[in-house]
Amino acid sequence: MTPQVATVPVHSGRDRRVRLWIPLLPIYLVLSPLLVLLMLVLLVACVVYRVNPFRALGAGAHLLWALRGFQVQIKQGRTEVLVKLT
Amino acid sequence: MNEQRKQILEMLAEGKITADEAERLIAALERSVDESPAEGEARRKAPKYLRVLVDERAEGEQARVNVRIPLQLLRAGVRLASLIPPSALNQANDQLARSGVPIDLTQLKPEHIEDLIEHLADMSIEVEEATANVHVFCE
Repeated sequence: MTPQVATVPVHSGRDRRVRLWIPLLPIYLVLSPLLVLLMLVLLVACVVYRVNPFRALGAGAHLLWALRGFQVQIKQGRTEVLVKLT
Repeated sequence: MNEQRKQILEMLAEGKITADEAERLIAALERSVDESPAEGEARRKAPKYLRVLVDERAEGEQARVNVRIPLQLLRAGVRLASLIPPSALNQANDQLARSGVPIDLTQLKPEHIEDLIEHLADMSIEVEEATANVHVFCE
């Protein structure tokens, strides 16, 4: 499965705490026209470099699925930001 | 001699099974004894994430970066790299060798990645300086 939600809690100072749950499906939908263009470019590249386009598509999808569980946490002083893909 | 092997030999002596059947049973018994602990250990040790922790202390203020990268990304990256044409891989090899990193990317095969990931479980890199610590490990 591709990542479905990006969780972004932001702690700023003592009292300010914001936690965002960003559903990624609308983002995928918004980006889908770009994805079609990107796939056309990749198809041309696959033909030029003699790479099986289905294998390339599978590898790209695997890369997207593998992003699930990725997490970055940055803390500086009292400010803390965490980005987590689930 | 363990109990199960003894039972097989007793069955052979009593004529309940043939010599071929006894041999097959003993071979199966040895396989199960050899494989079970190793498989269990491999399953237990296979890490899922690469962790990079950076702690910095500068002028009384502490900064921390904590990155968790799924090792599935490594698998996906190797699968993607297997699509790169050999001529491009040779060029990359030349550049890596020129930079002092003699790695042959053409030898990096998806079927070898599981062994690599399994051995990453034992990896732990710690770099300590006066103002910063870096710790890279797998979990």
